[in-house]
Amino acid sequence: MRLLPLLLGLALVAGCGSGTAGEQREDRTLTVQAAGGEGELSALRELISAYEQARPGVTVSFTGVPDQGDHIAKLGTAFAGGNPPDVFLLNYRRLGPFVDRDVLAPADLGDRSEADFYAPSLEAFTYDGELACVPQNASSTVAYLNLDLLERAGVALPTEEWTWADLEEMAKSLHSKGIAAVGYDAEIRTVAPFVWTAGGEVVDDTAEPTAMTLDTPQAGRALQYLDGLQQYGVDATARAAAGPADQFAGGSLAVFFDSRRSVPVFRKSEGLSFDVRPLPRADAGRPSVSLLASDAYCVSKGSSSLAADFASYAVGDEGGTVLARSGRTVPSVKALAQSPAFLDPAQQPASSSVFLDVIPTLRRLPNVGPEDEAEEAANDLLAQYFAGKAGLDETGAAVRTATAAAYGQRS
Amino acid sequence: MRVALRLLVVVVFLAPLALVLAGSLRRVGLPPPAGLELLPASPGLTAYDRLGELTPLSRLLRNSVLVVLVAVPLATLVASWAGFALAQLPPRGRRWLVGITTGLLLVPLPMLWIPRFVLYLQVGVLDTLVPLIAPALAATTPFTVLLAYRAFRRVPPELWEAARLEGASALVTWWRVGLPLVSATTTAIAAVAFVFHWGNYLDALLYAQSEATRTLPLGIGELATVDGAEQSVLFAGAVVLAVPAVLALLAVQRPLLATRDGS
Amino acid sequence: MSRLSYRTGLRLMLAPFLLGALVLVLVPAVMTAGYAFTRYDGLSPAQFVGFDTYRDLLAYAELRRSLAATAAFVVLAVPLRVLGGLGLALLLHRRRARLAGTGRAAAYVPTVLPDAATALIWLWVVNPVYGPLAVVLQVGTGSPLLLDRWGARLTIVAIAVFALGEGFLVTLAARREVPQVLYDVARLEGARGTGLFRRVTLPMLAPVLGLLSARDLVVSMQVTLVPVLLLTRGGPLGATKTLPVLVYERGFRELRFGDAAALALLLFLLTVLLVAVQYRLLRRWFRAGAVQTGG
Repeated sequence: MRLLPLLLGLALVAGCGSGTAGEQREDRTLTVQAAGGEGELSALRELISAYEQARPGVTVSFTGVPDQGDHIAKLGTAFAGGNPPDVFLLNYRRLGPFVDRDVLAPADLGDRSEADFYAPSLEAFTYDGELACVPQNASSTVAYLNLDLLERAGVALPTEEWTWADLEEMAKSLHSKGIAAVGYDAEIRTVAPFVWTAGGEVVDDTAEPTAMTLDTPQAGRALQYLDGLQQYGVDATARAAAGPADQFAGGSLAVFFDSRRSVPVFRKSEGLSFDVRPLPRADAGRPSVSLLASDAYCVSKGSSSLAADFASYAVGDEGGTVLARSGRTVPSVKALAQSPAFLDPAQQPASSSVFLDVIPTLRRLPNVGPEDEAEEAANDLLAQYFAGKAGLDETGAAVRTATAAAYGQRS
Repeated sequence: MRVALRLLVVVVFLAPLALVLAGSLRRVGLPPPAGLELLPASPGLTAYDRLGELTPLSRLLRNSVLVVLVAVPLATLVASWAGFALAQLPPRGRRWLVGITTGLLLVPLPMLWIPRFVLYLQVGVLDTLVPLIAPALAATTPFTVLLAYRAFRRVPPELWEAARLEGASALVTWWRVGLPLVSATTTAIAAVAFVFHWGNYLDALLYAQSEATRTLPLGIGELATVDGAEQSVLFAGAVVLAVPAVLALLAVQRPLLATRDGS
Repeated sequence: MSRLSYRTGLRLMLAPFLLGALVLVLVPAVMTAGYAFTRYDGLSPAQFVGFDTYRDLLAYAELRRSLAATAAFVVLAVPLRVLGGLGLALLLHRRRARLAGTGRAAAYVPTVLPDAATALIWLWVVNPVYGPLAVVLQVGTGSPLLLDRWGARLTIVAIAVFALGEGFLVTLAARREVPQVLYDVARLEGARGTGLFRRVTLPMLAPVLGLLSARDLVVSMQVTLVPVLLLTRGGPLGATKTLPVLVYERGFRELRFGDAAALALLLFLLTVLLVAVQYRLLRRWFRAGAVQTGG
């Protein structure tokens, strides 16, 4: 008999819930969402607690998502549900859908001017002629090297002008000593800089792409080169068993290609001593080219003024220094990037300046609406190629067809 | 021969869980095993500590427990009432309603994902725990209603008649006469509801993703994509998630699996 | 409360369930049928577009790929689940037989495991270096299972097959309701082993198996989402991107509610069609079986 009132009570509770959820958030709270590994997220948590200290009375609720795809899905449903985070970090390759749906507030650089930022990251977040978000970093793909493994194999640290042939030779010596030489994620973001240094193109038009062009001889050369490296290190099977980043962090992999994002984890890995070099160039005469990896603080339309304040704090001297010290980012602001907080020689990697040296050579992938889907389709096919399940020509043709379909669909 | 086959069934269905339990005791920070490792050399609980670092375990647990505490009694009540009423309706109405209830089993869930999102959005309960509890209002699955209906049908109708002649209302008859006779089935229904709500990944993914409302399945499932989470930590996550469900099964395996009529 | 008639009381007790089913199942199902003909993103109001959505969907290779992935899953998973449940029920139905009770509980364990736990366990099972499957099958030297189209599909099927508890339970109950006297009579007439199975067990269980097959078709249309999201993400090359996964992606990742609803409606119609076809086939098959065995 007492159960009926209970049931009614529950219905009431559910009803009340509807009242509170729709109300406007107070002006002193802020929601922030970002994706990344544990190290990346803890760097952001440091930034957030610094911000809370700098703005007494403000509380920030932070949501960290381990996976980029989940991050985007979550943002999508949050916008549809009318409850998006006030500020979120976004990679430029996933910017398009948000601008297309017109859900972002205009970017506010605060005390900074555009001249303070590195040009490539500003350019990457410019969409239809307007800056959409406040760039956080201007990172790029580099080669991470495990110094102990190199020493054990008697291999010298390469120069900044090293070539594909140098890397291959190094991989052979490492492999002959029983050391897993080279590992990388079999994705377009790894492949792209190798295609570029070989003189090829990844997409037909970065601003208005209609297809990925991995079916050219130059791209084919890059794919074959990367494929060939697998025999000296991480092949498809080893990659499926444990990610190359984890293997490098665990000290069992000598060379790994990735952006700056892995640094916090590598620093925390006990006994790992590592440094970075620019990616090797295809031939001695060719330029080294790297891929821009840049994220930005995006502010949702309708957020309070606190959201813009957070973004400008994060790229300001105070917030930017906290983040630079964490090792996670290559600051997008020149003054921060050239400060000791980032270049600190006592911190690994010793050659952090490599990240700054390559900035003039950076190229990028598109930032249009269907980029995410196009890359997903290409990555799916590249995984097959690097597992030896599809040939070179077949892969190049399939990537073109699949990405053409992705880029061509209505947004 | 049959005994050997039965042993095979036991091994095949239980071995993965047993190995996962053993694997979760492997110490964090050891180099990965070169191949299959059935029992870790020096067992410890460090994987569970690491699990607590990688996920907000206590908040996830609290949300999951909250959902289960409300949803399981609610689902059991709704199912039991519906089953009780169905069992005593006149034959024509009963046939119709039992038919409809069975028909509900045939509605594919993907049909409901988007409209439910819109409904929850309009009522304003998106990103609260309400969408995780809501299925209990429909008895979690029509299966529980049918279970209750079967159990109450086996009670001799004269018992209802007697209570009714004494002036008892339907609710009193259900509480005093009906429930005590079908307690085993009621426990089984509660277990079915528990297993569903405890492991409910899907509704959490679709309607309650925010940091404050995440439940255990979502938090643990995320480990599949976390960089640097060792295998033993994944095992620990699976164990934390699996053990309550297995305990619920053990609690009802007698009525659910061993006796003829489940009552 | 006591003033209400007993009959009214019964109706009131039925009301919460009917209301819940109406609001959470029937109304949403009808809404999906409506959304299927609109363009809708959850942000701006839905726009009626008629059959345009279907025309666009059918033009994409993705739908064909998804239908193939769904068909591969259903064709393998449904018979394996129903027949697996039958086999287990026959093996474990005796009350006092050795290991039967333990076997019944064990067979039900994978069914109660939360999806996320199952996914984590299977991630390990198929790991090409540390996983038991790699060791047992000696596939470590080949390529990873989840990078293989059929390897990924079979993994998702295996997860579904292990979770066959519901069907097992229903078949078990049905087997126990077969009167022993039927077996005694058949034995007197000289039937043994498979003969008993064909003359008594199968005909007696046929209605239940038919119903289970229908229910399993529906279940198969929805159980793939979580394992696919956590294990294969629809790959490789879309081999495991079944219809529910496509509905999820269109709806919740790309916010194309109209497209997603159209796909969900298609999934429903396909299910109805398949259940109808299956019903006719099974009825014919069981009838033929009955004639053949003289029952």
